Amino acid sequence: MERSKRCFLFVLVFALSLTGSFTLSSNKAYAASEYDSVVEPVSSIYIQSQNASSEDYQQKDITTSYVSEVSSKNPTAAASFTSCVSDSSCHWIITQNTVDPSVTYDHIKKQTEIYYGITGTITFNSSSPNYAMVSTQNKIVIYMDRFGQTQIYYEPSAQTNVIIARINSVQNGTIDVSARPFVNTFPVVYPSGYQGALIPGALAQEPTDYAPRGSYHMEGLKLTGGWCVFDQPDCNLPIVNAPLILNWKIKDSDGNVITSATGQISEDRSVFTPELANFTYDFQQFGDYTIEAEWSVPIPYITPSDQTWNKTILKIRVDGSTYTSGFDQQDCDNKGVCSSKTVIECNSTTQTFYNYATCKYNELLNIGFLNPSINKFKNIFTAFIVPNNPSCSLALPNVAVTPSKNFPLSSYSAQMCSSSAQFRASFPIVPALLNFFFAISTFYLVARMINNLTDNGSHDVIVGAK
Amino acid sequence: MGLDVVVEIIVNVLLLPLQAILIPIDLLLNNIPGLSDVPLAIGNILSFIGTIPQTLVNMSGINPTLWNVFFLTFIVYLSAAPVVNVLKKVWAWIRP
Repeated sequence: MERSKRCFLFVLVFALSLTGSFTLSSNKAYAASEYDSVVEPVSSIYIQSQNASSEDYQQKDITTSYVSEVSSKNPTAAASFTSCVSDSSCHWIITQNTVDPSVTYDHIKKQTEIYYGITGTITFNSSSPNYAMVSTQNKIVIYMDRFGQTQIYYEPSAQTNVIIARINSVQNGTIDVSARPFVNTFPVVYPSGYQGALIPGALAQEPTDYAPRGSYHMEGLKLTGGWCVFDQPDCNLPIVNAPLILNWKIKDSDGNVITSATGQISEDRSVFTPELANFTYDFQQFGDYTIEAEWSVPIPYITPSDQTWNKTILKIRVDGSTYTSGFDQQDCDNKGVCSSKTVIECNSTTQTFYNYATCKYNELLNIGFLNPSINKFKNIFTAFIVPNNPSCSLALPNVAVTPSKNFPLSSYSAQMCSSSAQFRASFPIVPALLNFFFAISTFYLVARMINNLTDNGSHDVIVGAK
Repeated sequence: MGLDVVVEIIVNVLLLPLQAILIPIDLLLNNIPGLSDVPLAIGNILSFIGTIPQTLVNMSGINPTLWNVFFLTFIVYLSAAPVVNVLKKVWAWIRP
């Protein structure tokens, strides 16, 4: 009876823990008002389709490139939309739409829709299902066909009522949202008592801060890098009617410039110095470095007074490892300030499952500084497993006494290793005793483990090994 | 799979609860600019410390296989002992 009670208590505690976990992990709380769940804003926009042959989903993030996507396929549509954006009397909204599976056309799953025009106000409709709509003139749809190609559907000057936020259905507690607003400049009339999410406002105006964007790849001591030089949103080139000059330099940890270079982009942004997009540098020694880059214009041009051109400072770690880093990976902003996250490359195609899983695990915990520090600390344990031919190399750095003269501390490491080899040759009993000590210690540990697994003292494999 | 992988797995499992607890704190600390330099600085020191074991083995003349087996046993012992004790206590609590 007593046993069954404890078992019951154990199961109860276990079940309560599970229930608590599920409750905490469920973060969706649906509002009670009839409109409050209609708007579910998104921070990114995608196009998605099903592959023609494999039926796998293929997806592309066009959050920062939707203008160039439209421009490359339909310049007329792009010109029409951008002229609306620059016109304060014209309004526009971008939505992320899930295509209804029952009317799937060309395997399209997600598409981005842009509506714009000089008239229109967003209102809420209480029909079933509830939705928010706007009546306006122009429509651009960006979608991906079954072959993974971006396609544009442009419908100008068509007066249409458009649903820009809509919940399709609620099934088994899952809400199917078919239209989600990304960004909007239309005026919105919210229903009285509305407590749901607000339709996101317009993006910030064109950034007035500009900093060069680039990336680099380290392999051993070799750095290969490139700056973003194309006239597209991703590169965020300064807006000026002049050729652009980019100066960049690599500095050591003391701030000394060890190399520098310059490149230029033509006024129409069509021609640039090849070294801008692809440069290399061979470091002489391990250490921490920075690469600094800054835009400028040649004389007699001048920098626009309403823009600030900042210096990007990327950190480089040269420690023999192979990694890729840059503006995005180091979380830099347009002021050139980077938060310098440690870069870990996880690639499921080139790494084994274990290495990939470990990499993702470390990547997940690579936030703040406590967990990254613990991750570094864990390497100490693996360092205790030595290779079959252990090297004798204390990686002692050379200490700089003056900028031009190094104190050769590393040379003492070699001297110490040769001395120890001579000592072992003179006194062979010492390594033999050490090996004996390790063998006995290993045996003792194994015995203690086995004793610990058995009952308290009554079945010890080796009596006394506690 | 090398012995270092086994050690890595054990250490990862042992430190997982601690790391899970620290995630919310790290999320808060992540807002402080420049703090991410601390792990880099620690990594510098630890990478130097990491070279010491094999240098010791080389200089002392200890058999690398014996050293590895000893260290692996030690790690397994450290990790297995508390787990066994917890299992014993749970079983003793359930058992009449």
